[in-house]
This record gives sequence, C-alpha cells and structure tokens, in this order.
Amino acid sequence: MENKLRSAFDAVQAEEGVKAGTKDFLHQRLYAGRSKTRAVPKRLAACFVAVFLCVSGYFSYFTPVAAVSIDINPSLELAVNRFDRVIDVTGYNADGQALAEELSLRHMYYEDAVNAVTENEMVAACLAAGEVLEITVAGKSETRTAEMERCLSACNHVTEEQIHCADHWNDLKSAHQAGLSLGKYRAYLEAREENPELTLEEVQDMTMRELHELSECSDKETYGQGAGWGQQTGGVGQGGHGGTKGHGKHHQE
Amino acid sequence: MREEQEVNGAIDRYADTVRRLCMVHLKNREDTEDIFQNVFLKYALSSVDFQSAEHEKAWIIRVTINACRDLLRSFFRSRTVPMEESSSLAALEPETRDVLEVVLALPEKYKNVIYLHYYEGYPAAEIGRILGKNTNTVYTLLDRGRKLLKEKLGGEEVGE
Repeated sequence: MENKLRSAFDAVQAEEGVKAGTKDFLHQRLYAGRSKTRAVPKRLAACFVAVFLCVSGYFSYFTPVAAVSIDINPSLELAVNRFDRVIDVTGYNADGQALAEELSLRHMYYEDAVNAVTENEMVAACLAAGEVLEITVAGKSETRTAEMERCLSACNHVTEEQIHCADHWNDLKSAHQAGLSLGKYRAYLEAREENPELTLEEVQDMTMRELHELSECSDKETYGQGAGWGQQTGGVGQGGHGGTKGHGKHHQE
Repeated sequence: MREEQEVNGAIDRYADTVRRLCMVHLKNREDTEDIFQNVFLKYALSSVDFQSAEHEKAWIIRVTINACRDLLRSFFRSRTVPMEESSSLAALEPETRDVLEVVLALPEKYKNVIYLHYYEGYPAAEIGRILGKNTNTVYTLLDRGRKLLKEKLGGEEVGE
C-alpha cells in the first residue's frame, strides 16, 4: 500500500502551464517593475555624480592658479586655470581695457593669448615706437611658474629677458590692492627703491619703459608723461636695479 | 527580496510538491494557480535564510498547507466550485486514481500527515514541526489515517 501511495502521488505533477503562469505572475509583480526602480537609484546616483563632476569641474576650470601680466603701456593681466586656459582678462589702464575688449582671449591657452596680444596692431605700434614689453608670471606653485616662464619665452616677439617671475602668489593680491597689474606693480616696487617718492597714482599711466628708466636713470630730468612726477634727483642709479634688469627671475620658496 | 532566478529555480524544484498538496486540499485548477502564486510570492519576499534544501522544502510545504487552509476558509470563496480535480484524476491509471481518491476522501486532518509521511517521508516529529502539532498528535493522526486507508483500500497493510 505504501508503494501504491507513492506511485499514486508520483503521477501528480505540476502542469507546465501552471509553472509558467506562476513565473510570469511573479515577473510582472516583482521584477518587471523592479528593474526600473533599481535603475532609479542608479540613475539618481549617476545624476549626482554628474552634477558633482560638473560643479567640481566648473570650479576647477574657473579657479585661477596662475597669472600672466602683459605690460607695455597697455597693462593687461590674464588669469590662468590649471588647464592652462585664460579664464579672465583684466585691463589695468585705459589702453589695457581697450585691448582686453578688442581681443577675445578667454578660454585660449595662455601662450596663444600672449601671442594674440603681442601680434595686435596697437601693441606692435607701441613696440615699434620703442616701448618696452614685459611679461610677469605668478603661479601657485614654483613648478607651474617655471613651466609657464619657459613656455612664454617661446612666444612671438618675446625674449627671455622680458619675462619676470613674481616672488610669491600673494604678490598678485598686493598688486591688485594697489590697482596695478602684477607686472606693473613689480616694476613700481623696483622703481620705488630708487625713487621713494614715486606714488601709485603716478605709476598708473606710466609706460614700462618710463618705469625702467626711473629705475635705471639716476640723474635725468623730469619726463614729459606721468602726472606729478618732478625732477629726478640723484641716487637713482643702475646698480640697485642691475640685478633685475633683463631676466628678472625671482623663484618662489 | 530574492532574485528572480532563485525564485524560478524554487518553482522548478517544488512545483510538483505544491501541486500534490493542492490536489490534497483543493478542488479546482483556479485555486491551484492561486496557491502557486501565493506560495512563491511569499517565497520571493521571504527573508528566511534556509539552512538546507530540506529546510527550504519544509518551509514551502508549511506555507502551501497554510495557504490552502486560508483559501478554503476565505469568506469570499465560492464553495460551489466545479469538481475539476476529478477530471485530472481521470487521466491517471485506474489503480492510481483509486488510491488518490481514497486519500482525498479522508478527513482533512489526516490528509496532510498521510501525504507527508508516506510520500514525502517525514518522520512524525518533523511533521509536527511543519504542521505545528505535537509529535504524539501526529502519531495518533497517522495511526488513525492508516486505519482508514486500510478500510477503504480493502484491508491491505500500510507500512509505517
């Protein structure tokens, strides 16, 4: 009898249709919608990651890590990001502002931006008239500063002697507080060593050539340009400026 | 929630067991399908960590029996259902059909213990755990169920 019972129950098997129907029911009930709901957190996470990358990328792109000051008489300063792109252009005098507006330098590689400046007609005219071009670089790291100095020396109409490096990244802040570009501020400090009465207001409209001459010349008369600038007194010698003439390289610590 | 693949595997493993229990308790195919969906839905949503295949099977059996009981007690279920189960038995061999009809005719309380003991091979103690009954009660039910089968099936001895 036990065998009969076992044989009888053995003959009872689940129909394939019932099994398939159950699987289908569960798929519709639990898993068809589950793939969507699982995707939601994944998509949400992907969105968050994308937003984070965009935000961090945005901040990263628009955070300056270096500055390139181009000074002739137009006084122009380029803010450079970690990708070597110009993210901001500031003119520090009327000519500089005009040049900034004329040239679309934003988002260019800084070397290309410098080339665009040095090849500009107004700039070319200044240089042809005997004006002095100076480029001053300040970077958050010494490595970056040195690299930029090397790259800029290969720019058009630029020589190594015309490139200067700021001592510290904070020099940039001091220059801006003084209302000057980095390069002009550096030249002002050098000129003031020999001319303690030199004021920021006087320097604002001076060309780099004039500032150089102030630093170098010890017994020249008053220049025609520069408001309020009187006679040169003695003591403005070359010796004090000799170390910075030409390739005025000041490495950061 | 268990993965779909795991649940489908359980369906393939235990479909016959569930089908047999449905046959023991229910009367029609529609109810059987309901039980299948109910049982394996619970399986899919269950967080029980099965220690073994035997543990898992015992769980399936318990859930199926409880689901059948709940369905039969449901207020909204019509009691006047077509006897479709008879037609499914008709497809079986006469001797097989006779034995099953005898089992199905037993009072409800004996069907489970007879099936679990003589077909699934569970000892009384295990049957007690599955059905939530005292082991001695299971022994008693087995003894009485065996005697009823003996009477119905013409006096042949049913092994213990």
